[in-house]
Amino acid sequence: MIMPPVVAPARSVVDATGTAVEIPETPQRVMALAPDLTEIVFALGRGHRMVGACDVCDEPAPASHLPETGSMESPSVEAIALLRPDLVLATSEGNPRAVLERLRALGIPAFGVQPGPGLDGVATTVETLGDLLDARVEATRLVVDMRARIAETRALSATRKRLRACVLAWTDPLIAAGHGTYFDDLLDVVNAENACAAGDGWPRLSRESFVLAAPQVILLATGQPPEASPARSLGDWAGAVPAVRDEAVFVLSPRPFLRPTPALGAGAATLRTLLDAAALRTDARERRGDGTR
Amino acid sequence: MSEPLVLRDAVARRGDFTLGPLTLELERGHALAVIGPNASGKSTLVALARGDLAPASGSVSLLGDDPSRLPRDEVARRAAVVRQGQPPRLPISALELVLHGRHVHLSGLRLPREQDLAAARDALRSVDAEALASRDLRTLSGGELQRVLVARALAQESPVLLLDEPTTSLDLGGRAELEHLVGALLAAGRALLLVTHDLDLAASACEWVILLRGGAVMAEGAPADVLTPAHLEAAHGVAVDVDLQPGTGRPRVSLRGR
Amino acid sequence: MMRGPLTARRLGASILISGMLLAGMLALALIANPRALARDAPQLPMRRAVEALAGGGDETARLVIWRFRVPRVALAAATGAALALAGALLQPVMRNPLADPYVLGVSSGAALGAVAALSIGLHVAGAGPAIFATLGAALAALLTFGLARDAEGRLVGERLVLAGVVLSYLLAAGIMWVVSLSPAAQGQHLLFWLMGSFASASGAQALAVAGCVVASLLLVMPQASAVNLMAVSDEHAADAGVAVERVKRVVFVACAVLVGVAVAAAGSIGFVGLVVPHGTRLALGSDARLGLPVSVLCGAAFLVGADLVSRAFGELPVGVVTATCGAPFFLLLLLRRRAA
Repeated sequence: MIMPPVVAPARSVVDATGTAVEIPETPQRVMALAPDLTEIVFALGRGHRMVGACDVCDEPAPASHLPETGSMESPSVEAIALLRPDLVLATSEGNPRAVLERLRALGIPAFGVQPGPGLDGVATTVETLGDLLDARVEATRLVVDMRARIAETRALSATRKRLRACVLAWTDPLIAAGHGTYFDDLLDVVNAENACAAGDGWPRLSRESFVLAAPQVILLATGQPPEASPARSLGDWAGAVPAVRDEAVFVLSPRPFLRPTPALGAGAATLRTLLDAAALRTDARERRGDGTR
Repeated sequence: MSEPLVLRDAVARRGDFTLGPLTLELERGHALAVIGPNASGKSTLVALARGDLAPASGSVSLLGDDPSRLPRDEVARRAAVVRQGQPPRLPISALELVLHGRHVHLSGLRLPREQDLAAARDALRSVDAEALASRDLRTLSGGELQRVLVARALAQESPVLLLDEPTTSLDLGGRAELEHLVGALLAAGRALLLVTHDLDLAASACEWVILLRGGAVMAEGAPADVLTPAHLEAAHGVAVDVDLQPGTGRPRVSLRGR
Repeated sequence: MMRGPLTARRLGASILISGMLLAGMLALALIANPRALARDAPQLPMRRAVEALAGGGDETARLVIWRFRVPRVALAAATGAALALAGALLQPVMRNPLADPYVLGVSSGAALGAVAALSIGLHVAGAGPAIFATLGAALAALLTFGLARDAEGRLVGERLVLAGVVLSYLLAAGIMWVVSLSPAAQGQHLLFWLMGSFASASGAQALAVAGCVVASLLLVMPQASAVNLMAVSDEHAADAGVAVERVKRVVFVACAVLVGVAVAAAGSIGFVGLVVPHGTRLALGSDARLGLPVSVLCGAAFLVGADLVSRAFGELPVGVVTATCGAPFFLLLLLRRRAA
């Protein structure tokens, strides 16, 4: 059954799957099936045009009141269709590809986004969404702003000595951020060496390799709420790791760190503060003569 | 010295089926035959003799003790069973199977000693199956398998032998050998309980025959007294003629032609 | 023409050779520097590894070797031994050359216990989900054995398999339920656990599993001859003087314990309990007195080798490695049978 669109489609755009999608010049009834997409829509100032979002798309605050479209892993096509959107945004990082096809079969314009690697990938996604939502000016501004903050953070970090850091998505088994992730880029921005970059994407490490990597700072991007002592959360076995010894283990909050949005620009600044604090502790220990390796 | 196998008014129950009361005395160097139609309790009797079933009343004595109270390995030392055999699923040689009969004479890992290997080979020789020693049992014919199973029981060197339908897969040659073997065993002082459909074998090999029907003893005594047309017709429901086997003078049963 | 009955000499020689195989594999796993695909992951050079093993070496090398590598290799060896022993016991007793210890439903019970505990966030300090996995294994075993008894209280092989398979399906459904209810990241974490890994090995775990293997072996070796008899048929064994029900109880309980402990420690690692005993039988014959100890040693070597491959390929789940080896093995078996 084909549902007639609310506003007549005026242009054709090609999404990440290579499919041409017909959308209005200015979409009025927008849906996002992933939290990062939702945040970007609001950041572009088009939050008031949203008519639905995924069940975990709770930020910024107004988004939590939007009608729910189901989970990220299995969005409800019925719920989506009932709200008669004129543009549905899905991401290859979390939404199933099949939902795009099912929505298109019902005549609903569904646009698939494939975020590119690293921070540049975030910029590209913002620009793509800006083009779709007729918010090109806002998009450019967001990207410029993000890049400016990153440049500033990079300059401020250059004076501090280079530390070895790891970003962990999980602690048992150890899953670390490798090359091509935006975490890798962020570490570079704050003048840290990614000590756990054992490959592209999210490689698994043995405990042995982790200990040999000897990171001085550990950033936990597990999405779990922070414990009283994050350094202990790795386990007794990690006692010899410099970051654990110096208590330079920090929990990254899901917003902004676990989502590929322009808020990562501000996130980079936060990261720099954490690393500066860690550097102080490491220096103090070295002066006391305890040695790091 | 205690009697090999004595049953006194023994009654055994298996589900709805009741066997007995049954009284018999098996002596050394003697063979006793148990005959009767299917489901008359012959296999139950073997189970009773081995102590797989405890008597509901009366007594069973295997070389002086109640077999249902004995540990399984002690029972096997006293009585060996030959049954109809199924071919095994995993590969095993005939010699290996015969050596299983030595299980109760060994301990620990039970690796066979010289005397066990000798006993096994002797047993195979007695059933004319020496050539089959290294053959995989799964490749043997029914008759060859049966002979190996008999050899296994022989290797156990137990004073009592319980033979449950040992002639089923045997051809004429095998049947002749078995009769010869039975004679040799009796001469050596073993006690045999022979459960069989082969009435001629029962008659020629045994001095005492028990005819069962529906769990009760219909007749017992010397072969000539039990294997009569009247008894057999009453037990099996078919008409038979009985004359004498040339040579032994024992009864020979033939179905009456129509 | 089949080979003759087992002699003490052949038994000793086979055990010696398998032992040497295991020793070689252990040495390799302890020293090797599997660089292959884990391009940038820091590794310990062989020279430093050897020094640390010998008692000297630098502090980091000693830490890596004694705190991480030795427990990991030891756990891999113990787990491989446990699974292979379970299979080597089960195949003759069930008269099925393709029986796998996982048919008892115990492994699914262990997996469900662990997965449920992990998803709720329960863990006993240092032991991870192991306790809950063991509990799950025990409950599953009780259920399977309870269902497998016939009217007279005897354990029937076919009913045991049926009960185990039914329970496995039920418990697998439970596992899928737990995984699907978990948030995405944790769901993936659970799946990784299920595929098997020695990455979080501790010395205590290795000792626990090894202890179970030794205890089981001491318990079952005196019954090995009885197992040979039962491999022909229960009746045949009973006729020859074996207390069949008692042996079955010992064997099944030992298998349940071995599988439960193995899965609790390292997740579901398949094929070891199937391939190693079967391969041992093809090479050395069906005598359990040989099959049991040799399977233990070869199972240990097999899993240590699999873990080495896992380390070389960026911490690939061990279950994936064993499955990759197992499938071609069976294909070969199938082709051999067709040709014969």
